[in-house]
Amino acid sequence: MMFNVKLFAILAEQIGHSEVQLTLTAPITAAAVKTALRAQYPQTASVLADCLVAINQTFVSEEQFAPSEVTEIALIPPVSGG
Amino acid sequence: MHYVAIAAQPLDVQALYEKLKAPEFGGIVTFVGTVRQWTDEIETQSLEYTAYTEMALKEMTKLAVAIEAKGANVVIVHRVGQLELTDEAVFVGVAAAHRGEAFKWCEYLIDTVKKQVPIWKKEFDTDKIRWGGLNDV
Repeated sequence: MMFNVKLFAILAEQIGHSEVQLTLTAPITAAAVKTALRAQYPQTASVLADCLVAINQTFVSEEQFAPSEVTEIALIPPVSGG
Repeated sequence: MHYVAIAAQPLDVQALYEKLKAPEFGGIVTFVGTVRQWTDEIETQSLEYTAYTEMALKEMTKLAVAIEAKGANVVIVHRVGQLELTDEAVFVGVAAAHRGEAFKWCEYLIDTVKKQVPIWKKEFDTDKIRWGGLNDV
């Protein structure tokens, strides 16, 4: 299935888009999102290693999601507010 | 009642402070982060902040609600956009019954905002552009 994945900051800059489409198969996990982006955009590998994944605007780590549960996916580079 | 926001316009520090006041709270601590010129040998000219706004607001709300449940008023506002030296980038304020809690919770909130709210800083330094949060490459 195709999913839109939001990109921010350095990751968006490296790819030149703030959103990409990735093909993901069930179950959807943080690791699967990162693996799919790395395969399509190898130039992101080093930054991606430090990125977190948010599904439905919540940070996820080991959780598994059915495709129907996923409304929004985002890759979160190391944050630097403040 | 908490107030959280991602602001595209300059922060009105006085107005944000006023939101904290309440008869039951006798101690107000505010932290304001501003754009610093020097970080060791690196000279910064300006900063650009971006945010995953919807999620940042959710994370800030979670933090604010958790502290308010202990008995406090909380305000957290972060700027986005282009900022110049001395501009206010973030405002965190806590009003509590006494100063000890207000200091403790305000420090906890700014530390946690910096660690887990999806906001990013792009530094325009005199030698090059750097992304905050990443090792210098």
